[in-house]
Amino acid sequence: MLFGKEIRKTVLSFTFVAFIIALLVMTISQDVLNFSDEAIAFPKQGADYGIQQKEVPKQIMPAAFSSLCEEFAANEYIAYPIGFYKNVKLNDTDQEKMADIISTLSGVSVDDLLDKDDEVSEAKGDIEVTLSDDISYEEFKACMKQADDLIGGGSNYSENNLLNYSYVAVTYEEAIENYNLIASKDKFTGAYARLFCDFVGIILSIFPVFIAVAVCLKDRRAKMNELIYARKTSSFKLILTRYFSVIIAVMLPTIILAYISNSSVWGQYSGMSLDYLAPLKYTIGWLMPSVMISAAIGMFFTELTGTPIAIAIQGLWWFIDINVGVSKLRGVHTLFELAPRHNALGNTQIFLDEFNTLAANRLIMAGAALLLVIATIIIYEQKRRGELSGYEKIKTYIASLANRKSKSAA
Amino acid sequence: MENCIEIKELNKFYGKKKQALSNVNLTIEQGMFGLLGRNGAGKTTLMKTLVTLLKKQSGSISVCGIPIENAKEIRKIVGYLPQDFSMYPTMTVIEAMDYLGILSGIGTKERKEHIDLLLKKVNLTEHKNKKVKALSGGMKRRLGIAQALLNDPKVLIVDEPTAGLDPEERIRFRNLLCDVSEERIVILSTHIVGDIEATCENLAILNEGSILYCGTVSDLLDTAKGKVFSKTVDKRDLPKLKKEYNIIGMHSQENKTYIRFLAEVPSPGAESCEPNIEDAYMLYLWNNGTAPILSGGEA
Repeated sequence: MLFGKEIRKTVLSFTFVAFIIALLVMTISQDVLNFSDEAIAFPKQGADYGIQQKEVPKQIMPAAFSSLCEEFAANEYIAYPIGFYKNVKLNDTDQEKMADIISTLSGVSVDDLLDKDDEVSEAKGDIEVTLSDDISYEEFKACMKQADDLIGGGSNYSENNLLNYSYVAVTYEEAIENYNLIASKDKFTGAYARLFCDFVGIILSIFPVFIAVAVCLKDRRAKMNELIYARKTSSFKLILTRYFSVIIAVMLPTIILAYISNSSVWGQYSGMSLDYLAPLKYTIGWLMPSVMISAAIGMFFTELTGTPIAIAIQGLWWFIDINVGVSKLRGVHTLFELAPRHNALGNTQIFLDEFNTLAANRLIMAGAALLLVIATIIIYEQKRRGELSGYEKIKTYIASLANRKSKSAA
Repeated sequence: MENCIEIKELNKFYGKKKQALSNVNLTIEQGMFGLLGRNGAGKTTLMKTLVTLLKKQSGSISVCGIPIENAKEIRKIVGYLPQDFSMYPTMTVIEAMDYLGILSGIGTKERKEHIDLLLKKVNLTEHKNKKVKALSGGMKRRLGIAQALLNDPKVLIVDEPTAGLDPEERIRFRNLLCDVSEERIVILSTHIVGDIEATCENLAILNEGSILYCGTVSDLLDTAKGKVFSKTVDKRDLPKLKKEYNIIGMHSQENKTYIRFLAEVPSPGAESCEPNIEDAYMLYLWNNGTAPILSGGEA
C-alpha cells in the first residue's frame, strides 16, 4: 500500500517527467532505441572487417617514443587527467627526470638532451634520438609509466593510452572469432543490450539523485514533516519504501526501453539462439547499481543536511567519471567507476576479460548504496526523535552560508 | 494512570544556554486541557516532547502508562496537529488522509470507513476530492484535526490550532474540539485566552518554560475576584493612570475613556468587575513579575 503511494508520488513529479524526457532524448539521439540497421552478420571473405586496438609492441614502442621526444623537445605534454585536455609544462627538475627516461630508452646522454646552447636548443625539435634495440617491451612500459607520472597522469604514455599507438586491421579469422563469441556468449542480444547500457548509464548515474532529492525535500516543502514523524510507521519501512520506489520508478521505463531497443533486431536472427532475457539481465546488473548509488547519495545527503547539496556532490562525481570514461570507451573497467562504458557493438572478448572487474565494481556500488540507505534510516530516526546532533549543525552551517551569500548578493 | 499524562520534573534545553522547559510537573486527565502562554513560553516544545518529536533532557513523562522513551507505542496512541502544517498540495483531501492512514498502519477497509466518518465529522465530505492547495485556512485546520484522529488516539494534541482563523471558523473549530474530546485526553495549546475559556475545564499557564498555574478554570477566575476594576476617566488623566494601574482594556467616547484595570486594592471611584480568564491570566503574569507593559504609549 505504502509502496504504491510512494511510487505514485515519485512518478507524478516534474523531476520524473524530466528524467523520462532525458532518457528518450538520449536513447533516440544516440541511435540505441532502434538497432534494426545494425545486424551482426557472419563475415564474408575478402571484406573490410575494420581496425582494432591491439597490443603490438613493435608498433607501440617507436610511435610512443617518437611522440614523447617531440613533446619533450617542446616541453608541452598533452594529458587528459580527468578527461579534459591539459597542456602540461614541466619544471626544470621534472624535465631533467624526463630527459633521464629518454636517455635510458635511447642511450643519448642527459646532457645532450638538455643542452642549453641556443643553437642546439633551436634544433631540439629535430633532435635525432632513436629507441635502443636492446630495450624490452616491459622496460619500455616501465619508463612510459614514469613519464606518465611526471606529466601527472592521463598522458599519451599511460598504460591504457599506449594502445592508441597500435591500431591493426581485423583479420578474417579474427572477424569469425568475434562473430562466434557474439553468437555463443552474447547470443546476439547481449551485444545490443551492452551498447544500450553504455549510453543509458550516462543518464542513469545522475538523474536518480534529482528524483531522490525531490522525494526527500517534498515533505519539508509541503510542511508535512511533523505529520509524518508522529505516525506509527517505522523509519526503516518508510525510507526503504521511498528508496525502492525511486529505484523501481527509474528502472521500469529503462527496462521497457531496453526491450524496445533489443527487440528491434530479434527478427534479423530468426532460427538462431537468442537470449531474450539479456535486456533485463544487463539493465539490472549493469545499470541498476548506478541508479542505486545515485539515489542513495541523494537521500543520504538530503536527510543529513536538509538541502539539495547531494545534487552538487553526485554531479561532480558524475562529471569527472564521464570525462575519465572517455578514455575507457572500448570497455575497460575500474573498481570505482560510476557509469561503466562499452561503446561498441560486440567487443565480446574485452567484455569477458573485464567481467570480473565490472562485477566487482557493480557489487561495490550496490553495497555502498545499501550502506548509505541504512545511514539515511538512522539519520531519519534521529531527526524524528528530535535528537540534535551533527546534521543539525551542518544544516545550520549551510543555512548560514546560504544566508551570507544571499545577503552579499543583495 | 492508564488514562492520564504524567509529567515530572521535565527539563529541556536548546543548546547549552537556552532552557525551554524548566522542572515542569503536570498531570493531565481525560477531557479538554488548555495550555496557555505567550509566544515563546515553551508550549510547542512541551507538545513536541509529548509526541516524541523532541527529546527531553531530564525528568519523566508517561502517556497513558507508556513511558515517553517508547516512541513507537506512544505514536500509536497519540494524534498530533502541529502549529505550522500542511499536506502535499497536489493531493486531494481523501488522498492525503489515505496516505497518512497508511503511515498510521490502519488496514484498507477500516481506513476507508474511518476516513469517511472523520471527513463527515469535520464537515469536509463535500470537499474530499478537492486538492489540498485549494482549501481555505479553516478547512485545512479541520483537515488537520481529521488526520490527527485517524488512528483513533487516546490523546489528541493540538498546537495553536486557531491562529489566523476568522471568528466564525474559530468557533466552529472550538466546537469540533469539544466534540472529539469525549473519552480522550485533548491538550489545546494556545496563546488565545478565548479558546481556553470556551473549551477547557482545566488549564496550565506556562511562562518562560515554567508552570505558573495548574488547576481548574474556575479556580483561576477566583484568584482574580476583587482585583479587576473599571472606571470612566478624562482623557487628560490617562497618562497618569497608566503609570498607576495595569490597564488591560480601554475604549474612548468623545473626551472620556472607559478603562479596565488590575489592582490589589479598590481604586477611588472605580467599580469592581467580574473577572474573565484573560484578566486572571494577566494577573498571574503580573503577580509573578512577568507581565508585559500593557498600557501602551502616551495617549
